[in-house]
Amino acid sequence: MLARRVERRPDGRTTVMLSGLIDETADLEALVADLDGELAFDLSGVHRINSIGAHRWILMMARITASRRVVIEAVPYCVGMQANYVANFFARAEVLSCLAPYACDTCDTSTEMLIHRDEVSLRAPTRWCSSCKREMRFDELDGYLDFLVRTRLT
Amino acid sequence: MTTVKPPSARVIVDDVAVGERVDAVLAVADIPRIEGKGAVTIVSHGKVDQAADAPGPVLVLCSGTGRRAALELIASRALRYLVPVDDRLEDSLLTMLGKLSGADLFGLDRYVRHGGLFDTYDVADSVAKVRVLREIGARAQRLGCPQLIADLFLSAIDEMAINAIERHNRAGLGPIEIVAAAEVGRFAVAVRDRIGQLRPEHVLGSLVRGGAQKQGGMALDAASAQLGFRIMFDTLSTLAINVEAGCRTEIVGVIDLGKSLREYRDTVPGWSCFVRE
Repeated sequence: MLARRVERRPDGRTTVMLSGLIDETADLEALVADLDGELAFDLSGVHRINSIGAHRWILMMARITASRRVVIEAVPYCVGMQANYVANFFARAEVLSCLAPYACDTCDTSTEMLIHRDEVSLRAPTRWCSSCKREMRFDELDGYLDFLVRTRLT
Repeated sequence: MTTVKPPSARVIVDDVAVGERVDAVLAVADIPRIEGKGAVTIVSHGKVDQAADAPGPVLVLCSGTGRRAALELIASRALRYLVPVDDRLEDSLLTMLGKLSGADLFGLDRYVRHGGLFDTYDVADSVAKVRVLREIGARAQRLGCPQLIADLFLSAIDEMAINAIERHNRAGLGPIEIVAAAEVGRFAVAVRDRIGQLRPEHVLGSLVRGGAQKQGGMALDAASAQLGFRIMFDTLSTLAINVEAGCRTEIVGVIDLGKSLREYRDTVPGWSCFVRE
Protein backbone atom coordinates (compact mmCIF):
# COMPACT_ATOMS: atom_id res chain seq x y z
CA MET A 1 0.00 0.00 0.00
CA LEU A 2 1.35 3.42 -0.96
CA ALA A 3 0.47 6.45 1.13
CA ARG A 4 1.21 10.13 0.70
CA ARG A 5 1.48 13.17 2.91
CA VAL A 6 1.41 16.60 1.30
CA GLU A 7 2.98 19.78 2.67
CA ARG A 8 2.56 23.14 0.98
CA ARG A 9 5.47 25.48 1.55
CA PRO A 10 5.24 29.28 1.69
CA ASP A 11 7.39 29.50 -1.45
CA GLY A 12 4.66 27.74 -3.41
CA ARG A 13 6.41 24.41 -3.71
CA THR A 14 4.45 21.35 -2.72
CA THR A 15 6.27 18.47 -1.07
CA VAL A 16 4.81 14.99 -1.48
CA MET A 17 6.10 12.42 0.99
CA LEU A 18 5.49 8.89 -0.26
CA SER A 19 5.63 5.87 2.00
CA GLY A 20 5.05 2.15 1.58
CA LEU A 21 5.10 0.05 -1.58
CA ILE A 22 5.11 1.18 -5.18
CA ASP A 23 3.66 -1.90 -6.81
CA GLU A 24 0.75 -3.05 -8.96
CA THR A 25 -1.74 -1.65 -6.45
CA ALA A 26 -0.29 1.85 -6.42
CA ASP A 27 -2.39 4.45 -8.24
CA LEU A 28 0.36 6.99 -8.79
CA GLU A 29 -1.66 9.18 -11.14
CA ALA A 30 -4.33 9.63 -8.47
CA LEU A 31 -1.67 10.54 -5.94
CA VAL A 32 -0.63 13.60 -7.90
CA ALA A 33 -3.87 14.45 -9.74
CA ASP A 34 -4.88 17.22 -7.32
CA LEU A 35 -1.44 18.83 -7.12
CA ASP A 36 -0.23 21.70 -9.25
CA GLY A 37 2.82 23.92 -9.41
CA GLU A 38 6.34 22.96 -8.51
CA LEU A 39 6.60 19.56 -6.81
CA ALA A 40 9.14 17.91 -4.56
CA PHE A 41 8.92 14.19 -3.89
CA ASP A 42 10.44 12.84 -0.68
CA LEU A 43 10.83 9.10 -1.25
CA SER A 44 12.52 8.17 2.04
CA GLY A 45 9.44 6.26 3.21
CA VAL A 46 9.26 3.98 0.17
CA HIS A 47 10.48 0.55 1.18
CA ARG A 48 9.91 -1.47 -1.99
CA ILE A 49 9.17 -0.87 -5.65
CA ASN A 50 8.52 -3.69 -8.08
CA SER A 51 8.72 -3.75 -11.87
CA ILE A 52 5.05 -2.90 -12.42
CA GLY A 53 5.32 -0.07 -9.92
CA ALA A 54 8.45 1.13 -11.70
CA HIS A 55 6.60 1.26 -15.01
CA ARG A 56 3.80 3.29 -13.49
CA TRP A 57 6.32 5.58 -11.84
CA ILE A 58 8.13 6.19 -15.14
CA LEU A 59 4.92 7.04 -16.96
CA MET A 60 3.80 9.37 -14.18
CA MET A 61 7.18 11.10 -14.03
CA ALA A 62 7.30 11.56 -17.80
CA ARG A 63 3.91 13.24 -17.73
CA ILE A 64 4.32 15.53 -14.74
CA THR A 65 7.87 16.65 -15.52
CA ALA A 66 6.88 17.72 -19.03
CA SER A 67 5.12 20.81 -17.79
CA ARG A 68 6.67 21.81 -14.48
CA ARG A 69 9.73 21.63 -12.29
CA VAL A 70 9.92 18.49 -10.17
CA VAL A 71 12.64 17.60 -7.70
CA ILE A 72 13.26 14.27 -6.00
CA GLU A 73 14.74 13.96 -2.53
CA ALA A 74 16.00 11.07 -0.36
CA VAL A 75 15.80 8.31 -2.96
CA PRO A 76 15.94 5.09 -0.89
CA TYR A 77 18.14 2.13 -1.75
CA CYS A 78 15.32 0.07 -3.28
CA VAL A 79 14.40 2.89 -5.68
CA GLY A 80 18.02 3.69 -6.48
CA MET A 81 18.51 0.11 -7.66
CA GLN A 82 15.62 0.46 -10.10
CA ALA A 83 16.79 3.88 -11.23
CA ASN A 84 20.06 2.31 -12.31
CA TYR A 85 18.24 -0.28 -14.42
CA VAL A 86 15.90 1.98 -16.32
CA ALA A 87 16.80 4.91 -18.52
CA ASN A 88 14.82 8.04 -17.79
CA PHE A 89 13.53 6.69 -14.51
CA PHE A 90 13.11 10.22 -13.18
CA ALA A 91 12.32 11.79 -16.58
CA ARG A 92 13.18 15.53 -16.40
CA ALA A 93 13.08 15.70 -12.62
CA GLU A 94 16.14 16.81 -10.69
CA VAL A 95 17.34 14.25 -8.17
CA LEU A 96 18.81 16.16 -5.24
CA SER A 97 19.69 13.39 -2.80
CA CYS A 98 19.56 9.70 -2.01
CA LEU A 99 19.94 7.28 0.85
CA ALA A 100 22.96 5.06 0.32
CA PRO A 101 24.15 2.01 2.26
CA TYR A 102 27.14 2.40 4.57
CA ALA A 103 28.60 -0.03 7.10
CA CYS A 104 30.72 0.41 10.20
CA ASP A 105 33.10 -2.54 10.54
CA THR A 106 34.00 -1.52 14.10
CA CYS A 107 30.43 -1.51 15.39
CA ASP A 108 29.27 -4.17 12.91
CA THR A 109 26.31 -2.07 11.89
CA SER A 110 24.89 -0.92 8.58
CA THR A 111 22.67 1.98 7.78
CA GLU A 112 21.44 4.21 4.98
CA MET A 113 23.02 7.67 4.93
CA LEU A 114 21.74 10.74 3.12
CA ILE A 115 23.95 11.84 0.21
CA HIS A 116 23.47 15.06 -1.74
CA ARG A 117 24.24 14.90 -5.44
CA ASP A 118 26.84 17.65 -5.21
CA GLU A 119 28.91 15.47 -2.86
CA VAL A 120 29.30 12.70 -5.43
CA SER A 121 32.32 12.73 -7.68
CA LEU A 122 34.10 9.56 -8.79
CA ARG A 123 33.43 7.84 -5.49
CA ALA A 124 30.92 7.87 -2.70
CA PRO A 125 31.40 10.61 -0.10
CA THR A 126 32.84 9.83 3.30
CA ARG A 127 30.54 9.19 6.22
CA TRP A 128 31.32 8.64 9.89
CA CYS A 129 29.74 6.25 12.34
CA SER A 130 27.51 8.04 14.85
CA SER A 131 28.64 5.62 17.60
CA CYS A 132 32.39 5.11 17.26
CA LYS A 133 33.05 8.18 15.05
CA ARG A 134 35.21 6.14 12.67
CA GLU A 135 34.93 6.32 8.92
CA MET A 136 32.26 4.06 7.49
CA ARG A 137 32.60 1.86 4.44
CA PHE A 138 30.39 2.49 1.40
CA ASP A 139 28.53 -0.79 1.21
CA GLU A 140 27.58 -1.00 -2.45
CA LEU A 141 29.27 -1.42 -5.79
CA ASP A 142 30.97 1.62 -7.25
CA GLY A 143 28.29 2.14 -9.90
CA TYR A 144 25.43 2.39 -7.46
CA LEU A 145 25.38 6.18 -7.42
CA ASP A 146 25.29 6.39 -11.22
CA PHE A 147 21.63 7.39 -11.20
CA LEU A 148 22.45 10.39 -9.06
CA VAL A 149 25.32 11.50 -11.29
CA ARG A 150 23.31 10.81 -14.44
CA THR A 151 20.44 13.05 -13.42
CA ARG A 152 22.90 15.79 -12.51
CA LEU A 153 24.30 15.71 -16.02
CA THR A 154 20.96 15.81 -17.82
CA MET B 1 10.41 -40.31 -12.26
CA THR B 2 12.91 -42.42 -14.16
CA THR B 3 16.51 -41.41 -13.60
CA VAL B 4 18.72 -41.30 -16.68
CA LYS B 5 22.33 -40.90 -15.67
CA PRO B 6 24.54 -38.93 -18.09
CA PRO B 7 26.95 -41.55 -19.39
CA SER B 8 29.97 -39.27 -19.19
CA ALA B 9 31.28 -35.81 -18.53
CA ARG B 10 34.03 -33.88 -20.26
CA VAL B 11 35.81 -31.53 -17.87
CA ILE B 12 37.78 -28.49 -19.05
CA VAL B 13 39.10 -26.51 -16.12
CA ASP B 14 41.97 -24.08 -15.68
CA ASP B 15 42.60 -24.75 -12.00
CA VAL B 16 43.86 -28.07 -10.63
CA ALA B 17 42.11 -27.65 -7.29
CA VAL B 18 38.79 -26.97 -8.98
CA GLY B 19 39.36 -29.98 -11.21
CA GLU B 20 39.87 -32.18 -8.16
CA ARG B 21 36.67 -30.91 -6.61
CA VAL B 22 34.80 -31.63 -9.83
CA ASP B 23 36.31 -35.13 -9.97
CA ALA B 24 35.12 -35.80 -6.43
CA VAL B 25 31.57 -34.80 -7.36
CA LEU B 26 31.63 -36.94 -10.50
CA ALA B 27 32.77 -39.89 -8.39
CA VAL B 28 29.89 -39.40 -5.96
CA ALA B 29 27.46 -39.08 -8.87
CA ASP B 30 28.98 -42.15 -10.54
CA ILE B 31 29.62 -40.26 -13.77
CA PRO B 32 32.88 -41.12 -15.60
CA ARG B 33 35.14 -38.28 -16.73
CA ILE B 34 36.27 -38.65 -20.31
CA GLU B 35 38.54 -36.65 -22.61
CA GLY B 36 36.38 -36.74 -25.74
CA LYS B 37 32.93 -35.28 -26.17
CA GLY B 38 30.83 -36.14 -23.15
CA ALA B 39 27.12 -36.07 -22.58
CA VAL B 40 27.76 -33.11 -20.30
CA THR B 41 30.61 -30.60 -20.54
CA ILE B 42 31.86 -28.91 -17.39
CA VAL B 43 34.06 -25.95 -18.25
CA SER B 44 35.74 -23.04 -16.48
CA HIS B 45 34.47 -19.66 -17.60
CA GLY B 46 37.90 -18.77 -19.00
CA LYS B 47 37.82 -21.79 -21.31
CA VAL B 48 34.22 -21.60 -22.39
CA ASP B 49 35.25 -21.25 -26.05
CA GLN B 50 36.59 -24.81 -25.91
CA ALA B 51 33.05 -26.03 -25.25
CA ALA B 52 31.61 -24.35 -28.32
CA ASP B 53 31.19 -27.66 -30.14
CA ALA B 54 29.84 -29.57 -27.16
CA PRO B 55 26.96 -31.81 -28.21
CA GLY B 56 25.08 -31.65 -24.92
CA PRO B 57 24.54 -29.31 -21.97
CA VAL B 58 27.44 -27.03 -21.03
CA LEU B 59 27.85 -26.30 -17.36
CA VAL B 60 30.09 -23.30 -16.74
CA LEU B 61 32.12 -22.92 -13.54
CA CYS B 62 32.61 -19.26 -12.74
CA SER B 63 34.96 -17.74 -10.20
CA GLY B 64 36.41 -14.40 -9.27
CA THR B 65 34.76 -12.31 -11.96
CA GLY B 66 32.13 -10.50 -9.93
CA ARG B 67 28.42 -10.52 -10.55
CA ARG B 68 28.35 -8.05 -13.41
CA ALA B 69 30.90 -9.94 -15.49
CA ALA B 70 29.14 -13.22 -14.74
CA LEU B 71 25.84 -11.81 -15.97
CA GLU B 72 27.50 -10.51 -19.12
CA LEU B 73 28.91 -13.99 -19.71
CA ILE B 74 25.48 -15.57 -19.26
CA ALA B 75 23.94 -13.05 -21.66
CA SER B 76 26.63 -13.18 -24.34
CA ARG B 77 26.72 -17.01 -24.43
CA ALA B 78 23.06 -17.59 -23.62
CA LEU B 79 24.22 -19.90 -20.85
CA ARG B 80 21.65 -22.05 -19.13
CA TYR B 81 23.85 -23.49 -16.39
CA LEU B 82 26.34 -21.48 -14.34
CA VAL B 83 27.87 -22.67 -11.07
CA PRO B 84 29.92 -20.32 -8.90
CA VAL B 85 33.20 -21.72 -7.65
CA ASP B 86 32.69 -21.15 -3.95
CA ASP B 87 32.45 -23.23 -0.80
CA ARG B 88 29.17 -24.71 -2.03
CA LEU B 89 30.53 -25.87 -5.37
CA GLU B 90 30.04 -29.57 -4.62
CA ASP B 91 26.40 -29.16 -3.56
CA SER B 92 25.60 -26.93 -6.54
CA LEU B 93 27.29 -29.27 -9.00
CA LEU B 94 25.52 -32.33 -7.59
CA THR B 95 22.18 -30.54 -7.89
CA MET B 96 22.85 -29.56 -11.50
CA LEU B 97 24.11 -33.01 -12.50
CA GLY B 98 21.14 -34.63 -10.79
CA LYS B 99 18.74 -32.53 -12.82
CA LEU B 100 20.67 -33.10 -16.04
CA SER B 101 20.55 -36.82 -15.25
CA GLY B 102 16.79 -36.85 -15.53
CA ALA B 103 15.91 -36.67 -11.86
CA ASP B 104 12.89 -34.62 -10.82
CA LEU B 105 13.60 -30.96 -11.52
CA PHE B 106 11.32 -29.62 -8.85
CA GLY B 107 11.72 -29.14 -5.14
CA LEU B 108 13.25 -26.64 -2.77
CA ASP B 109 14.93 -29.47 -0.88
CA ARG B 110 17.60 -29.51 -3.59
CA TYR B 111 18.72 -26.10 -2.34
CA VAL B 112 18.04 -26.53 1.37
CA ARG B 113 19.44 -29.97 1.98
CA HIS B 114 20.14 -30.01 5.67
CA GLY B 115 16.75 -29.99 7.33
CA GLY B 116 14.96 -26.79 8.08
CA LEU B 117 11.35 -25.79 8.32
CA PHE B 118 9.41 -25.42 5.06
CA ASP B 119 6.67 -22.77 5.14
CA THR B 120 4.11 -23.08 2.34
CA TYR B 121 1.74 -20.28 1.37
CA ASP B 122 -1.10 -20.06 -1.13
CA VAL B 123 -1.08 -16.62 -2.75
CA ALA B 124 -4.03 -15.52 -4.84
CA ASP B 125 -3.58 -11.76 -5.14
CA SER B 126 -1.45 -8.73 -4.35
CA VAL B 127 -2.79 -8.40 -0.83
CA ALA B 128 -1.85 -11.96 0.01
CA LYS B 129 1.55 -11.47 -1.67
CA VAL B 130 2.33 -8.47 0.53
CA ARG B 131 1.33 -10.40 3.67
CA VAL B 132 3.50 -13.39 2.72
CA LEU B 133 6.46 -11.18 1.85
CA ARG B 134 6.13 -9.55 5.26
CA GLU B 135 6.29 -12.98 6.92
CA ILE B 136 9.28 -14.04 4.82
CA GLY B 137 10.99 -10.75 5.64
CA ALA B 138 10.45 -11.34 9.35
CA ARG B 139 11.94 -14.81 9.01
CA ALA B 140 14.95 -13.39 7.15
CA GLN B 141 15.51 -11.00 10.06
CA ARG B 142 15.28 -13.85 12.57
CA LEU B 143 17.95 -15.65 10.52
CA GLY B 144 20.24 -12.65 10.96
CA CYS B 145 19.96 -11.39 7.40
CA PRO B 146 20.94 -7.69 7.16
CA GLN B 147 17.94 -5.48 6.45
CA LEU B 148 19.00 -4.27 3.01
CA ILE B 149 19.85 -7.77 1.81
CA ALA B 150 16.49 -8.97 3.12
CA ASP B 151 14.86 -6.11 1.20
CA LEU B 152 16.66 -7.20 -1.98
CA PHE B 153 15.46 -10.75 -1.42
CA LEU B 154 11.88 -9.58 -0.97
CA SER B 155 12.14 -7.55 -4.18
CA ALA B 156 13.25 -10.66 -6.04
CA ILE B 157 10.43 -12.77 -4.57
CA ASP B 158 7.95 -10.05 -5.47
CA GLU B 159 9.12 -10.32 -9.08
CA MET B 160 9.07 -14.12 -8.96
CA ALA B 161 5.45 -14.04 -7.81
CA ILE B 162 3.90 -11.12 -9.61
CA ASN B 163 3.65 -12.56 -13.12
CA ALA B 164 2.67 -15.99 -11.82
CA ILE B 165 -0.25 -14.48 -9.91
CA GLU B 166 -1.36 -12.53 -12.95
CA ARG B 167 -1.18 -15.57 -15.24
CA HIS B 168 -3.04 -17.74 -12.74
CA ASN B 169 -5.78 -15.16 -12.33
CA ARG B 170 -6.13 -14.78 -16.10
CA ALA B 171 -6.47 -18.54 -16.50
CA GLY B 172 -8.76 -18.93 -13.48
CA LEU B 173 -6.31 -21.29 -11.80
CA GLY B 174 -6.58 -19.97 -8.25
CA PRO B 175 -3.61 -19.24 -6.01
CA ILE B 176 0.04 -19.84 -6.76
CA GLU B 177 2.29 -21.48 -4.19
CA ILE B 178 5.22 -19.91 -2.38
CA VAL B 179 7.52 -22.07 -0.26
CA ALA B 180 10.25 -20.73 2.04
CA ALA B 181 12.96 -22.76 3.73
CA ALA B 182 16.25 -22.06 5.47
CA GLU B 183 19.37 -23.83 6.60
CA VAL B 184 22.57 -22.56 8.15
CA GLY B 185 23.91 -19.78 5.95
CA ARG B 186 21.16 -19.67 3.34
CA PHE B 187 17.51 -18.85 2.83
CA ALA B 188 15.55 -20.09 -0.16
CA VAL B 189 12.14 -19.42 -1.65
CA ALA B 190 10.30 -21.18 -4.47
CA VAL B 191 7.39 -19.71 -6.40
CA ARG B 192 5.28 -22.27 -8.28
CA ASP B 193 2.63 -21.88 -10.91
CA ARG B 194 0.61 -24.50 -12.80
CA ILE B 195 1.15 -23.07 -16.26
CA GLY B 196 4.67 -23.88 -17.42
CA GLN B 197 5.07 -21.15 -20.04
CA LEU B 198 8.46 -19.70 -19.13
CA ARG B 199 11.39 -20.33 -21.45
CA PRO B 200 15.10 -19.51 -21.14
CA GLU B 201 14.98 -16.91 -23.91
CA HIS B 202 12.43 -14.86 -21.92
CA VAL B 203 14.78 -14.77 -18.98
CA LEU B 204 18.03 -14.25 -20.86
CA GLY B 205 16.45 -11.40 -22.81
CA SER B 206 16.38 -9.41 -19.59
CA LEU B 207 20.17 -9.58 -19.39
CA VAL B 208 20.63 -8.52 -22.99
CA ARG B 209 18.36 -5.54 -22.48
CA GLY B 210 19.93 -4.97 -19.10
CA GLY B 211 23.24 -4.58 -20.90
CA ALA B 212 21.92 -1.21 -21.93
CA GLN B 213 22.48 -0.26 -18.31
CA LYS B 214 25.92 1.02 -19.23
CA GLN B 215 24.29 3.43 -21.65
CA GLY B 216 21.92 4.72 -18.99
CA GLY B 217 19.49 1.86 -18.44
CA MET B 218 16.79 -0.10 -20.20
CA ALA B 219 14.48 1.71 -22.55
CA LEU B 220 11.25 3.13 -21.23
CA ASP B 221 9.25 0.51 -23.08
CA ALA B 222 11.11 -2.46 -21.59
CA ALA B 223 8.53 -4.97 -20.43
CA SER B 224 7.99 -5.26 -16.70
CA ALA B 225 8.89 -8.95 -16.87
CA GLN B 226 12.29 -8.09 -18.37
CA LEU B 227 12.95 -5.69 -15.55
CA GLY B 228 11.72 -8.29 -13.09
CA PHE B 229 14.20 -10.92 -14.26
CA ARG B 230 16.98 -8.38 -14.23
CA ILE B 231 16.18 -7.66 -10.59
CA MET B 232 16.28 -11.39 -9.79
CA PHE B 233 19.66 -11.82 -11.47
CA ASP B 234 21.07 -8.82 -9.63
CA THR B 235 19.76 -9.63 -6.18
CA LEU B 236 19.89 -13.41 -5.68
CA SER B 237 22.76 -15.74 -4.82
CA THR B 238 21.10 -18.45 -6.89
CA LEU B 239 18.33 -18.25 -9.46
CA ALA B 240 16.98 -21.57 -10.71
CA ILE B 241 14.07 -22.00 -13.06
CA ASN B 242 12.41 -25.35 -13.60
CA VAL B 243 9.73 -25.77 -16.20
CA GLU B 244 7.56 -28.71 -17.16
CA ALA B 245 6.23 -27.32 -20.40
CA GLY B 246 2.53 -26.60 -20.30
CA CYS B 247 2.18 -27.93 -16.75
CA ARG B 248 4.14 -26.04 -14.14
CA THR B 249 6.95 -23.62 -13.39
CA GLU B 250 9.09 -23.32 -10.30
CA ILE B 251 11.34 -20.30 -9.78
CA VAL B 252 13.80 -20.77 -6.95
CA GLY B 253 15.64 -17.85 -5.39
CA VAL B 254 18.35 -18.33 -2.79
CA ILE B 255 20.30 -15.85 -0.71
CA ASP B 256 23.52 -16.69 1.10
CA LEU B 257 23.64 -15.13 4.52
CA GLY B 258 26.66 -13.76 6.33
CA LYS B 259 28.00 -11.38 3.69
CA SER B 260 28.16 -7.62 3.65
CA LEU B 261 25.86 -5.93 1.15
CA ARG B 262 28.76 -5.05 -1.12
CA GLU B 263 30.15 -8.61 -1.06
CA TYR B 264 26.70 -9.97 -1.64
CA ARG B 265 26.07 -7.69 -4.61
CA ASP B 266 29.40 -8.61 -6.17
CA THR B 267 29.05 -12.38 -5.76
CA VAL B 268 28.83 -14.58 -8.84
CA PRO B 269 25.29 -15.98 -8.85
CA GLY B 270 24.31 -19.55 -9.51
CA TRP B 271 21.99 -19.83 -12.48
CA SER B 272 20.12 -22.61 -14.19
CA CYS B 273 17.10 -23.04 -16.41
CA PHE B 274 15.74 -26.51 -17.01
CA VAL B 275 12.85 -27.08 -19.37
CA ARG B 276 11.32 -30.50 -19.75
CA GLU B 277 9.06 -30.75 -22.80
